[in-house]
Amino acid sequence: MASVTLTGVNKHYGAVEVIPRLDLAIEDGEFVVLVGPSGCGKSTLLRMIAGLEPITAGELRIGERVVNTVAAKNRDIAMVFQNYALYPHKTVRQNIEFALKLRKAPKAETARRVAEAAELLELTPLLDRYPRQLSGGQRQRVAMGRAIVRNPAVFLFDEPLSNLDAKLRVEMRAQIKALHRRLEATSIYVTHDQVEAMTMGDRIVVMREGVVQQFGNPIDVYDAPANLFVAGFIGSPAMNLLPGVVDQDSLSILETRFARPAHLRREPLPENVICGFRPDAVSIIENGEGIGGTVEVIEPMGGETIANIDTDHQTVTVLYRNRLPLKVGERVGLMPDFASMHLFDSESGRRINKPSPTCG
Amino acid sequence: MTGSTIRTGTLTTRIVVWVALILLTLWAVLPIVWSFSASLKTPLTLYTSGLIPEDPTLDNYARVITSDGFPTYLWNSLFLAITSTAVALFVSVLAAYGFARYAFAWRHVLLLFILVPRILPRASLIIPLYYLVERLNLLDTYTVLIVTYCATAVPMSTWILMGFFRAVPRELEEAAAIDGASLWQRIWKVVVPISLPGMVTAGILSLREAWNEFPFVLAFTTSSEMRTLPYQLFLLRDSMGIQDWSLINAFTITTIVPILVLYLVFERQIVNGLTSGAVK
Repeated sequence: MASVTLTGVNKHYGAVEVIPRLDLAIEDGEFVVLVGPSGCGKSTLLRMIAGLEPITAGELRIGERVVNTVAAKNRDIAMVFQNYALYPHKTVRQNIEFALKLRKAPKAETARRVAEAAELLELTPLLDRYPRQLSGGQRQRVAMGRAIVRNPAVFLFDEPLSNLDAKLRVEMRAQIKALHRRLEATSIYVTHDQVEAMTMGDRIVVMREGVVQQFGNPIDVYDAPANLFVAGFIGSPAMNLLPGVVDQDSLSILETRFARPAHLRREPLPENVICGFRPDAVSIIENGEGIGGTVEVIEPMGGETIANIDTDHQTVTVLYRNRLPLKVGERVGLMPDFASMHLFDSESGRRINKPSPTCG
Repeated sequence: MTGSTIRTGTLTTRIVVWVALILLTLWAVLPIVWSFSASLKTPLTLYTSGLIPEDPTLDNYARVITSDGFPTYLWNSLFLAITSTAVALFVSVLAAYGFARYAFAWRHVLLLFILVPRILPRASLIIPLYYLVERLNLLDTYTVLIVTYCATAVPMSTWILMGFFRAVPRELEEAAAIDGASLWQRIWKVVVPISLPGMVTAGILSLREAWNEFPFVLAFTTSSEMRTLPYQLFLLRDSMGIQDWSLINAFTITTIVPILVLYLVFERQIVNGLTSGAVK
């Protein structure tokens, strides 16, 4: 086990700068998820930690050791790839023991560790099969087996669940978390799926264009997104980001005037702001009150319903749990919950208000 | 092509395809069938009966196998074919890996240049090579034949293997690198085994070329101890005065059989979809 520390890490591909300058300190035993849209540099960052991509500038430490120029095989890491990357010509057993054989581990120890890993991942009956004879979930478990058998200091996961179907993904998510709790090894997990990030990470790193937007525990990031990007990215359905105009006594949202919320009366606010409301922080009320709009789409999900309301300016997503007799095309009013409002500067996109205790 | 696309073809298309395939097959197989038939006849009955011999005999084969020097010629052919194929494959694996995985300057030009030994007619190389080989004092040695056979086999094998190596997902090599494999181990323990169909294809083609090679062995060897089967076949035809076609055909079939057996054995070993399950 080891900490992973990146200091001023920078990555160029020729003239293209993929990661401008990045500092990140991942603690020993922590499960950190790097999350962001495609092309945000999260996989590049993981590959740099793995030693599969050279670092242009900066310093990378695993534990106390600077590993910038250390070959991947000497970094004491294991990686689970998106496409599993199992050796097709080797059986499950040979796949798992390959790393130990390369290190010339004693035969008895190799057999014991393979058996342990197989037992842990319920792969024992499959040890003599070839990867092509396995299902997607089983292949993913073999890839994990290959990683854990070496007992590495750091586990790296590069979108390992994205090729699995939704049900299996949920199962594997739990399995990876359970495995982490058991092994207590430092783990760095890359995903573009924010649900995966929220559910798995001890802390999450939200990235965009190679820059860390926010680093914190998932609930803190959800409750107090640092900027508009994080606000829009974390949370499903996404937060409604509505332009607002502030004056002495009022706050106008989508040209509807509301009294300035009590907890914001004393705070100095810029004139133009972006007001963020989670879909469950907007209520549907009688037409004629609040922000007016027309019901565009209704998506009943069983326990809850998601409705898109077209307000003439932009669409607002509302999530509600009670059974409202809504119909598509119906005119309704929308009332945001100001207590859980997130305020952002419309120019810089940065968060202005402190998170309120009822945020969410 | 899937079954359904074949079925959707019109009747006319199917007839044309079938006729073309039958003609091609006959064109390829008939000479061998005729040769085999001739090898079972005596010189007297050679032209009197049809394809099926009236009174088949294995005498010709017995004469071939017991003829003077046959074991030496067979050994020479085998040794040269196997050694030159092994050396050519070893060199080609390294060359193909370089071309498949590294984007270096002038790569495409170099790829075309390595084809030169195959583009030039073999006969045009004999005089300059003879001059060179004589100066190196390598005439009438195995070395010169192995080197020249490799020189023509390497370009072909490199091109074949490069295609297969490119198809090996990079992630597999990255996984191996993280598992602790050196570049050398990645090539021989991951890339090459996954490219087994390519190795078999390149190997069989090289082996066949070396087995059948004639101009170089004719030009660069003189002693009877260095003769290969094709060389002996040529002498057989030339030196007998009266052509004993039954014997010549028995010799021809004896020469073809080992390669034919190899084809049949390895065809089954080219496992389709070997890489399925590696990724996704």
